[in-house]
Amino acid sequence: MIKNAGVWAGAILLAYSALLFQQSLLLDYYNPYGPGPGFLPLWLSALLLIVALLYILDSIKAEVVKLVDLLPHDDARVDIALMLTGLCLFALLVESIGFVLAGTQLIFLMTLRKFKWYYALPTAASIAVVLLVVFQKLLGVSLPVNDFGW
Amino acid sequence: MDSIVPLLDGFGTAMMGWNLFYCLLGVTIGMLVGILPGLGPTTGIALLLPITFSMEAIPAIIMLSGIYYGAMYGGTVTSVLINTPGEAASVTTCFDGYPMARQGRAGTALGVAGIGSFIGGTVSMFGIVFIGPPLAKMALSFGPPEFFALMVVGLVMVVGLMGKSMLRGMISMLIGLSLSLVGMDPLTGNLRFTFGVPNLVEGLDFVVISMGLFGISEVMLGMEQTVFSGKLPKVGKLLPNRDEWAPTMKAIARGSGLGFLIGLIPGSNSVIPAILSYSIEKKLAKDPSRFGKGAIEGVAGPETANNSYCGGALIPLFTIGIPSSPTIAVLFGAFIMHGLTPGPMLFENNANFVWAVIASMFIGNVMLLIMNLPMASLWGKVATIPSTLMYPGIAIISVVGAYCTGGRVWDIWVMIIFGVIGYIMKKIDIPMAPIVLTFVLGKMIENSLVQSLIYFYGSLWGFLDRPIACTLLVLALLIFAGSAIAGIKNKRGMLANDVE
Repeated sequence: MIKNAGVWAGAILLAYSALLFQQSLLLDYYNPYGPGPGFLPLWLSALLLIVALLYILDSIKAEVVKLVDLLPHDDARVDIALMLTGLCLFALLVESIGFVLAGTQLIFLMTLRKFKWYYALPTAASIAVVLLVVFQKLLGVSLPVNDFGW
Repeated sequence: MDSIVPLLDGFGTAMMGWNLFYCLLGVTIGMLVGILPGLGPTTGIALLLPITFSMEAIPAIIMLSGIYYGAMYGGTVTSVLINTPGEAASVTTCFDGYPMARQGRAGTALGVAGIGSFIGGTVSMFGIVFIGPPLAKMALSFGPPEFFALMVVGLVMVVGLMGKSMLRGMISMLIGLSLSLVGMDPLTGNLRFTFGVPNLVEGLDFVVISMGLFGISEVMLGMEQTVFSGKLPKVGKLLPNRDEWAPTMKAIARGSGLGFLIGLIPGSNSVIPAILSYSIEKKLAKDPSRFGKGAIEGVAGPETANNSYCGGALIPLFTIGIPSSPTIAVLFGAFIMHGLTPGPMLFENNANFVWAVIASMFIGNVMLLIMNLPMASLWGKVATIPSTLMYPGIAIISVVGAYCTGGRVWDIWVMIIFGVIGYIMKKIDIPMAPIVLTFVLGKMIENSLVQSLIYFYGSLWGFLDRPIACTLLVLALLIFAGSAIAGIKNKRGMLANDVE
């Protein structure tokens, strides 16, 4: 059971619904005009609690998805890790280093295993610059930039 | 007939230079989205939604709608040539389209699919023209109880028809609803589930969640899949043999009607008409054993049905403001983003917009027919581009899109989190479509329920006094019971795919 992904997903869902239920109890269930802000959340979270329990039971009985199956396959594991790293770095850095550098590192990390680095890096930088120009200048959508404007 | 004059006005607007260009751009992107496996119309529209921020509403929606119905055409190409459906609705096309390609008749399969898609798409557009306005007028008489009941029917349909089990569909639905409650309660102004985080006060952004669930998670899943590396079959002759025209046209006629009617049902999806059409064609055929071995009706019927569905599915959006599928839900988000409220007042308040979009779909269908018939082999080559090359592009456009929705890095984090959640959900077979639909409808459901209960002095029995609401709720109950029984008997069969 410890290796059953469905049980773990159900347990997380159960915790999520319990949290919502507890929070719903803090809201007014009814007010002088009718149902209050806690009315639907309370029913919804209660229903979600029941459904989460049923899902755990179903996961135990039905075909089991193992926890290890949730992980990407060997070859894709590095690709996905690189992409997620790139995305997180982008979110962390974009407001300080600007879109072009943050975008370049994201594209570079995602293309690193497909091309030699000296092809991947200029390509990544070019794509980031083109996107900045297209969004900022042509489409009028403002992107986060550094003090130099890129 | 009242619709003819405004439709002609709509053609005038849609034919204006930039609108025509955006229509062409939309259908071309739609073709690409449909052709490239893993990218569906929902992902395509969600990814490109931020590009339309600075555009006016008419060209923006013309382009996004073009992606929607263009993807239906595109999905056929990969189904026929490499036995890989570009999007979910084209799964059935693989059954007979690919065997036809192996017999040297790829061109005929693509030709028939193109003709069927064009006819199905055009028929459903006429459906919108003639059914849309009267339905919108009728919907004007709907009050909160009727809207609530209608949305319940939609939700029950989604839960009942999508995913491998009803339980999983319900999980997805309830998660979507709970996410929609985050932020300020629209009726009282109370904060709910914000946990003291200021960024949650305005709630979660629909576009950001969609890009995470459909964009980032698709890229993650796509990285695990093997890339097509075979040789494409020759396209060859595009039109069927003389003796094949009659059964083909009959299949197209049936597919047009079926797809359109199913599109009208809130909560349905484009896979259903395609599968039903395939089943009907097989049942009606003199020799059903041909199916699966290259029967032309097996391509013509489903391809027509899924395109006809597209037009039909826009009717609930235009007339009652209820999205019927995840893709339409993203379109719904686009309407809101551009300051338009889908629903009965749309035909009254934004007639120019509505008719221009409808007219653009007629034009877009013609463009797609031209793009498909003589250029089938060219699109086939696009299908062989390794999708790994596109993933960096999708990722960077996703982060740009997420950032642009609110101009804050917070949304990028939300998108990443939902990308991972979507990836896990797909791995454990929890359908994602209900999350998106209920998230979009969540606030409307709550408002209509609360308003109804205030109107009924807090009694749920008040719904029974409203004939339309009562009928719809009984219908929802029947659908729910039917789906539950089908689930127990394990007869959910092929409809049990997460779609779009």
